[in-house]
Amino acid sequence: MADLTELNLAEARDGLAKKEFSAVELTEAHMARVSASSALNAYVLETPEKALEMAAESDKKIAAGEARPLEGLPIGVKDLFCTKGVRTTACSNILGDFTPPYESTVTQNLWGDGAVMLGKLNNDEFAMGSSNETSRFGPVVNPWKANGTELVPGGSSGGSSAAVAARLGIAATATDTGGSIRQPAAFTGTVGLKPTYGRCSRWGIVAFASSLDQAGPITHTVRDAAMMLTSMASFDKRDTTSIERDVPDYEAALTGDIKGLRVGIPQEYRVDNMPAEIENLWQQGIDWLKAAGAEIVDVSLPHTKYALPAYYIIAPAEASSNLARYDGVRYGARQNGVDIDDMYAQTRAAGFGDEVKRRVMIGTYALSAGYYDAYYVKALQVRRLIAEDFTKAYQKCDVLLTPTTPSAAFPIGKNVEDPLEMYLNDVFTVTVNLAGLPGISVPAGLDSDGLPLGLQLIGKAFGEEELLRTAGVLEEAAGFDAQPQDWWSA
Amino acid sequence: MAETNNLIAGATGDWEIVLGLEVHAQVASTAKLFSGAATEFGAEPNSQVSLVDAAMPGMLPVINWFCVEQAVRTGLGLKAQINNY
Repeated sequence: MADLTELNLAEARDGLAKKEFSAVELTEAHMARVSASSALNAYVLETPEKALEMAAESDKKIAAGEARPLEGLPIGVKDLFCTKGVRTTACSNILGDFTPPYESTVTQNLWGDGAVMLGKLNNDEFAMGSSNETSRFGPVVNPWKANGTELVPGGSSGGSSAAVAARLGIAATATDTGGSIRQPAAFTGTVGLKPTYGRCSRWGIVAFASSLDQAGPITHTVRDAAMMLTSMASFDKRDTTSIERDVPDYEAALTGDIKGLRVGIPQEYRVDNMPAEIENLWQQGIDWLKAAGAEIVDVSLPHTKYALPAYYIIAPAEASSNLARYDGVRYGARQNGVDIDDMYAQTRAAGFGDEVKRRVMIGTYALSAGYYDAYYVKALQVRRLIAEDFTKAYQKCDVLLTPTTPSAAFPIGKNVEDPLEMYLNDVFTVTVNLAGLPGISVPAGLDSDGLPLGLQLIGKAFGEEELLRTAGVLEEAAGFDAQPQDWWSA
Repeated sequence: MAETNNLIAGATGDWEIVLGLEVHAQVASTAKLFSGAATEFGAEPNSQVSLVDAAMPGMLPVINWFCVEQAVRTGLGLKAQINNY
């Protein structure tokens, strides 16, 4: 039998259906790789007993001819998703050993469709970061190396991207508030899909910035992303921002035909100091889509330059409100104090890391009397203009093509002391969250150091079918099949 | 302007008496405003606390539409203007 961890999601599904191997065998193969991967620090909690139990159940379902869409497929779960009876920490000390008595809607949807849980994946604390260096469990190491240097896997979903790239799970759940799915996918040669705001329920996902957060998958292929989204997406009356709208079979949208599709190229995404390699890859992407029959259109998103400043007011403002609940009273880690106010202060001082404290302070400042109109209200106005930029652009085109990130993966520690440099990682991705649109990063090539680079496609609201179809064509043309050399398996 | 019989004399001039009422009334709802937890009086301690009320991670408030309806009815009863959004 070939190495079962070499399969992507669709291949594994088809192999299980043909009974070439069992769900237990598939799960065990991945578990073995996971337990030998501590050098990557991708998993913060392994759930082998649960995985084997779920896989055995899947084998019964397959034997009975009752296989569900993701039957027996082992995946990892970002530690931001609450999992019933399984420790969930958002990789923050303040949550201690919090074990939720409930399951997030997205993960419940996946288990309901037969997926198997391998464990919980590392991420930046409360999803605040672009390098997975702010986690209480320490940094995740990118399976890809350049000249022997250890690199970040991107963030905040760095455990998810590293796990998929290193084949420690056939796919992973992730969340994206400003680029936290797409940037890590670009840094690891994987596919990362951030759906339209409201496509997946946020119920049971630890909140960072509620008007921007959205769950999505990180996978090997566009087809796998379509399979995952079909299961993850749902209307949920417990999340009043989820949209009551049928979930199509996204895999069926992958026809490979984009003749006549209008692809917009936003001129404002040609930023200063962008490496020539990324500029060239972008041009390559344009040529690939043109060759596939798409029409290329120049468009303008004039307010792009204000997106990062607006994002870094809105997201911290919402975070400061969402994180007010962590006070040590009802759950999580508590530090004792001389009175209740001191207990709150001690708990939060010890429980939150530096980046989380920075954003809580920025957010609290931006929302405080006297500054609210100058910062928060102004940022909301900018957000509206950014959304309108996209609406206008989509009068001339159907999807947009951009680079996913302004650089390839960088060394661990490089940007830790410079938050502003770190925030620049999100320059091509935050606009999509501010406008609530779907975006996908597709691995498209390698740079001169042999590191993966991604191209981003941005779709219309609820245009995931068109987006995935286009991404499939881009993926096919790029023919990206490079894999990191396994240096980490113990 | 008000009738002159609402005035009382002060050291530097008349004071006009203006009265306003702020009425707080509990909505006759069986569930809380932002969660499905019951509001029954006299229940056991902590038996009417939902995951949302306890601010558990990942929980989201959902507005109680009965309460919204009551607010709209009250507004209409007071001949107030109801804004749709």
